[in-house]
Amino acid sequence: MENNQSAEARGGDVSSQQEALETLASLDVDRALLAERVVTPWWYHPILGGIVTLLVGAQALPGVLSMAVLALGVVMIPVLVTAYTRSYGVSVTAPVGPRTRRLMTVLVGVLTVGMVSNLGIKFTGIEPAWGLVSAVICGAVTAVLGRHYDDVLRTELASGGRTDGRSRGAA
Amino acid sequence: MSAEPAATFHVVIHAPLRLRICGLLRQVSELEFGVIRDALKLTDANLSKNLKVLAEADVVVLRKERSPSRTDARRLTWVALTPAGRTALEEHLASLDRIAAGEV
Repeated sequence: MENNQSAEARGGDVSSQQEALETLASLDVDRALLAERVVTPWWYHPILGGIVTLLVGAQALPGVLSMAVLALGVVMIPVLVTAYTRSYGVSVTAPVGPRTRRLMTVLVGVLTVGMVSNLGIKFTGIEPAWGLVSAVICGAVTAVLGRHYDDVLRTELASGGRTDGRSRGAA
Repeated sequence: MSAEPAATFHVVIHAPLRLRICGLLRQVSELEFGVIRDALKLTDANLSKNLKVLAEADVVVLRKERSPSRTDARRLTWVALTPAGRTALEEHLASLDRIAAGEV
């Protein structure tokens, strides 16, 4: 990276304290504007929940059918995400703050528990219908928590990933 | 969590428009050209000019993608911070934080 200087060297002659505060405040405004644009369409989470139902439910299905349904679910995820990002022009692929990180952990945990429990159903000879119940629960949790995740994501985007209500320049 | 970034002033990033562009990109993976243009109320030419400067300095990377909603040859342009650009931005913001806090 070119043209770098230490804060001590540049701060005095380029940016006064007031200018720095104004600059940081303008970034906060831009970030809030961007957060308003991160609105997930109504169809996104129901479809995502449906895909999760397929992925989890596939574990309880026999042999080739299991692989086929699993492959369908795996292919549908990037199709869904691409459709969304192309329509809205915003791609956020990772949590942006502590609350979204926690929610993502919970979502991955729910998916893992669902898949493992359905594998257990498959290999212990329990009635396969229970696998469907587990899959539907996982799909519903994903749809509901996914919407909540988006609300939290918008809040954290607007606050710069901080949860203490402060933003840069407001310290 | 990693340590606080070093406070280093980056002149390429500090230009007001370029800093705002980087600020928008800071917490997302990618933004489409039109989203940045509309959010910052810029013209296509002005945004293109500043993105070119940032790309030449290895702060951002541009990715072209065909648009299924367009029948002509126009493409979507996605913009993302490079790893070096992300580091530089964090250092620059740390620098501004210090100045704003009266530490410099």
